[in-house]
Amino acid sequence: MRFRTAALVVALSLVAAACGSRLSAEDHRLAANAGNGGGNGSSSGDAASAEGAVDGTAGEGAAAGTDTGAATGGAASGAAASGAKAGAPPAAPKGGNGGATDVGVTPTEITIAVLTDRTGPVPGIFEPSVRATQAWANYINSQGGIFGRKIKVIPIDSKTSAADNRAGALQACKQAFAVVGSMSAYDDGGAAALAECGIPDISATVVNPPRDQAATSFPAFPNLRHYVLGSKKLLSEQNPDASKTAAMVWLNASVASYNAKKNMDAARSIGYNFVYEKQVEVVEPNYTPYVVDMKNRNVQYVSMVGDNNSIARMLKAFKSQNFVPKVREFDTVIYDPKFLAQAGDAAEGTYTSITVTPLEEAASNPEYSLYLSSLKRSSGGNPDGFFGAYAWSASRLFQEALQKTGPEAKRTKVLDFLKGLHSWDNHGMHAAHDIGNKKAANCFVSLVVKGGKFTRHSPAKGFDCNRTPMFPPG
Amino acid sequence: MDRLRQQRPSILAMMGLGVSLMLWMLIDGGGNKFFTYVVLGLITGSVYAIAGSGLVVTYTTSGIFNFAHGAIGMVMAFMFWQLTVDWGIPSWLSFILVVFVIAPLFGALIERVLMRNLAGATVVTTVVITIGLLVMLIGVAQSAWPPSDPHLVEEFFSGTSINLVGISISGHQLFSLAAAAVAAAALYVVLNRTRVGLAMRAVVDDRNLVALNGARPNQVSMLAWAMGASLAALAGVLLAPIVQLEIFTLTLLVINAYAAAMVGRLKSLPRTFLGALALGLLIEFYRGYAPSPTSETLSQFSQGLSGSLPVVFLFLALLFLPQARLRVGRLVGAKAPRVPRLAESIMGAVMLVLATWVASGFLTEANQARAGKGLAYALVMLSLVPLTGYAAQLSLAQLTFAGLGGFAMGKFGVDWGFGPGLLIAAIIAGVAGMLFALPALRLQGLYLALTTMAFAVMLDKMFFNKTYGFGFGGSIQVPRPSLFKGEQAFMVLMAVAFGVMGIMVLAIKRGPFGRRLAAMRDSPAACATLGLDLTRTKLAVFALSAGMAGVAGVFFGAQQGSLGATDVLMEQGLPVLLLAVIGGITSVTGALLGGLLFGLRPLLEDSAPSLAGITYLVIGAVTVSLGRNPNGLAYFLSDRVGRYMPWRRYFDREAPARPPQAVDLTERELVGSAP
Repeated sequence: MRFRTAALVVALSLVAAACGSRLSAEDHRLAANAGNGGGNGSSSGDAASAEGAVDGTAGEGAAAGTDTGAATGGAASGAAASGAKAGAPPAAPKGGNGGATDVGVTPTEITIAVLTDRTGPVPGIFEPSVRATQAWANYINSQGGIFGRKIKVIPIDSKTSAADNRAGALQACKQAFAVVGSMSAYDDGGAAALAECGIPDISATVVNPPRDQAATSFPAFPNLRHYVLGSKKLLSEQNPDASKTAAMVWLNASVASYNAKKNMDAARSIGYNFVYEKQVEVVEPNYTPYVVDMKNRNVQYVSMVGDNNSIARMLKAFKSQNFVPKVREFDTVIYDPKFLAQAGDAAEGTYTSITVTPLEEAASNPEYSLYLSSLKRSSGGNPDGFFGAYAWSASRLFQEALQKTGPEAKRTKVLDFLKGLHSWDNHGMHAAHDIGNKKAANCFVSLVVKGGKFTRHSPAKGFDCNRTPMFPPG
Repeated sequence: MDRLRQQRPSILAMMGLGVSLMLWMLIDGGGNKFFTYVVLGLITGSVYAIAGSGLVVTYTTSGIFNFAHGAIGMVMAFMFWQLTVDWGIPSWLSFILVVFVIAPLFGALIERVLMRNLAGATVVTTVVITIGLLVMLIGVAQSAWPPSDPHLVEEFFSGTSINLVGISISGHQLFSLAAAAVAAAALYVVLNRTRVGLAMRAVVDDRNLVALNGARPNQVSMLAWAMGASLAALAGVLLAPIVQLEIFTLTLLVINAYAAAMVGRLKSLPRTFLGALALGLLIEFYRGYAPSPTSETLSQFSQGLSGSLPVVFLFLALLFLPQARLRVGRLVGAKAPRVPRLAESIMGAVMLVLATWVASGFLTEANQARAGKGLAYALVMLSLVPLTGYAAQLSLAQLTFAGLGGFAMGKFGVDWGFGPGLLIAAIIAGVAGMLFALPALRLQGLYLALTTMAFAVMLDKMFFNKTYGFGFGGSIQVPRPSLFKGEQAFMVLMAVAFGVMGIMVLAIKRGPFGRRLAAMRDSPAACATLGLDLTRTKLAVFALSAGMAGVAGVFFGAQQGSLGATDVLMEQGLPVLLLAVIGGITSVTGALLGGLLFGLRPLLEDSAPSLAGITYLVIGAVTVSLGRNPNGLAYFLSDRVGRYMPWRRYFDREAPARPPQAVDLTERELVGSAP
């Protein structure tokens, strides 16, 4: 009997861990793609080769002294930190670093928090942001820290929940100097708490408008306010008829509906005409009817807001119905080896666009190489893609802020620096975003699937910038 | 001849469907478009037919509606991947192994370990146990096949196809159609033309009588579950290459097949197949012929309706069900929990508020926010106590009502203040509960649960994640009262709300309305005979429960700062229901304990993050092991611990003589088995 009672208590304790997990895995995945088509995807089929090349070509020191401005077409817009060189972090000044200058700061350590969904319907989906931030901290610590302070990372699990995001924000306010590299599907939960306590929040990217609008939030990839239309403009120039018979399909999930509408409004502003707009169920077992409808309407441009599995299923239905629209363009969610595996040869000729240097070219980009080698040294993992790349960028942005504001680490100083920073390309790793105004760069790299791999479509090198105004303009 | 007469309604319906299609074809001008949608509808319908037939087989032969049917199919689909992709066994051999060996063995195991003990159990118990099994299997799949890893399987007969009326039908789709037809024919023959089929159908009516006639009911029941699992596996394996191996997608897709099964009233395979085909055609014709509204709101509604068609179909099928037979008596399982007196419940509420205030003082602000979530869920669970605990009416839509409450506060609370917002939330949710209950009043038990489920899914797809619902992004800001902005203050406020509502619920239990609820639960037929207005009683308890859930939704949203459409999904409500049962759905204390388990979650997960990955597994496992006792942990505590509390002796001494307890009539219901 005693055993039964003990077993019951243990079992009930374990049960407590279950609840509140959101069942909508689709929303979680879609949230990752919120905003627009900007951003990177993730590791591609070439990942292994890219990393192999990294080991041989770039080490930690390789990034030092690297010029930014890999972008072509005027990506860098000439503000404060753009063009900065990524050197070794500064040592402690002779007069000392000011000691415990703010919350989470001691003479020898700065504590930062990564407020990220680590558990939930798709456990570990945003784990790359934690790994990348920890990889940066380990790299900095191996260099002696910043002004003599080493970096301590506290990962806080926001559990794919607005309430836990808020709780995590409150925890970060009390324990950390800044929130860095975060990524959460329900990041609106902690927005007010972070703003109220005045903690700098340099997320990898943000998903919900309240977080974007929070006074202390400055994501490394600020993609919520404007839609980068360059890729769509390019494809409409190359296929002028296709944009006149466009189709948009999206999943019946709140984030997807929102993004699809934003996507269509943006495309219409440059002349796209949508003849087919359809919402499909997350658990849709049969895409054939939609494909038949599109075929009947002579659709020549197709886009879909959904997870890569749903997009792959629709592409397979295209193939089985022998329907090949001239342009099939999707958000960066498809820049993922999983998508290539799921869609198989139905993915051939599919377009996407990114704002980060393609992973396939990582070996020739010193900052990307530094990220990959640090990551490998830190967690032994493979390249982590979008979340990881931008979490690394967020960490480097935090480093930049600390270095530029001097040894007396103050939250207010960091915030002032971020507000005044209008060009951040992480030493040439990605297009230059306006951090202070929370505006993504109007730049892109167009990719197309060829031979089962993502390959560069346009431009031939660097980024294509200012092809057309962003949406909404301004 | 008799058999033909029995099947006359199905034959007539089939003819009716055919005539309708021909008329439509004539109106449509006999164009290609019409045939295209007919073919597509049949393909879609075949998927639902396979899934629906499995549900019917299990229900017909065991009397248990298996909510875990989709989850069994999902696990078997992953098993198929394991065999073909991971272990390299040829797909045809894997198919045979999974559908004809592993799945039947798994079904038999479920019957032996879980379902055999449920003979004669209440509908609430069977629903809870099967939902627990569903959640547990999701946990198994998450642990064994991590969602972050890709799991891909190839279609059967990949690369082959035929062209029909302008569309290409793949070899896999043809195989699915053929499998549906073969499964239907085989099932029909087994159930209607063989001795074992006869025994299967007889077992659900009276196991003892079957045994007296020489059959072995346990083995027969085991065979029935084996067949059900085999059909679930067939559906899962056929769907896996199409929708890919996604745990939730595969599990939830089967919900669409509930409508088909309900057309067959869970007993008739021909009608189930007819229902599945009609559903498939309805879905495709709506896609093909529904006008595209120019208004943004109407367009959103229309698209929401398109996705909701299977549950709308289910809702309508349930409404056209015949009146359920009233039961004379019911199985009285466990002893009812002791009902505290008014002074005692006030003292309990005050203690709860004080304990919350003191305990939260030891927590950091962050942990106060985490623990507060537990109290918010406790309020939702409390709304289930009068409805499910006292009246034995099962609702799977409590989070939906909570969502309506949060919506009301988000819309009105900002301008009108928290107090008026709370009142409006209770009224809107209560009225919605009453309106929804109105057409469902004829139904009982399982059918009522399915109706609430359909309602929850409809509101999710057609309201919450629309701009006219929670707005763009599917999230609405829910304000806190100005005096309770802080985490600790808001926790205390939620404890006050729980205390007040708990006192109210207990007062209801002690009063005449509570006695009416108990009487209705114990014997609806006797109540009706004695002149009790069952309709009014059911309406009142539904409105009360929905109103309470609306209030809970306000606190839930305000605790988080916002309420999202994903917070109030029907699926989200399943773990809430299970935890309420584990805590004890028949008592206020049980609701509080259920909520406290939420409060413990972050502490456990943070101290042992690996536990987070097996949470579904654990919650499901605990439910299936404890689900037979709705009094749950609260009763255990009350019985084993509460009796030693000094004030209990005082209140027990002061208490008037207890009314007679419900009589344990027999091991089974006296009349009928209306679910």
